[in-house]
Amino acid sequence: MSLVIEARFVPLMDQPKKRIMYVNRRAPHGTSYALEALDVMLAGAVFEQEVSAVFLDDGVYQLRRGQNPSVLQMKDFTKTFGALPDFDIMNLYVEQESMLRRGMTARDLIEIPRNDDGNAVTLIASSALSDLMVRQDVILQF
Amino acid sequence: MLHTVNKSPTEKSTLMSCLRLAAQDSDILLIEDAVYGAMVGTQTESTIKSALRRYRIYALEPDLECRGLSKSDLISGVRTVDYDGFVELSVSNDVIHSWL
Repeated sequence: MSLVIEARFVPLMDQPKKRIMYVNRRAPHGTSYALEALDVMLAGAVFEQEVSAVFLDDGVYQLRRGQNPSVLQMKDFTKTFGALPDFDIMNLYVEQESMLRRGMTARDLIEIPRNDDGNAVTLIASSALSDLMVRQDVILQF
Repeated sequence: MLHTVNKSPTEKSTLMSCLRLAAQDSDILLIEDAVYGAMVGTQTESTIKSALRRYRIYALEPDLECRGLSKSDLISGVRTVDYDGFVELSVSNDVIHSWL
């Protein structure tokens, strides 16, 4: 009796689209979580997939307008968020409830223009975010 | 006594523990992510406001600027200091408790 195991390689482009979500929950400068998450999002850019980034809890501070890490002689990585749409990450969702608890409104956030003239940064309610999370194939949290 | 706190109050309980245990009339200096605790409109604002009746609370200016916070974002009564002010507070207090 012989058992044949067939190994097949299916090219990524022939596989069904994967939904990938990056969840950012840390403030930007006190630790290196935010910087490293951004590096992962850029380095791991997978095109033709549905990739989104979510900002909640203290993670909402990452997208705050007017940050200036150069006063602490640190690299201003927050400007790099603007490059995410070029890496096929078209949606940066910011949880509304987290903003509310921190006294922030949409006006406090940076805008990230997309090719379709939209803003990649959008507020999302917890319930909608919960629904979005259920639909993911992969979730990575930082 | 000078207390320094460096963690965001919505991430860690450090600032709340400091405010619970610091003796009346202490200087409390918010640095690094703790400066978010000095903002208006947050869920911890009322605790900070009542703490201002017992303590002098300061926020470090370069850490505010780094995070895009200006003086108009701060709870009234919270003072700001630059690095020289930090040194001043350090030498004018005999004991420094660095909350981590």
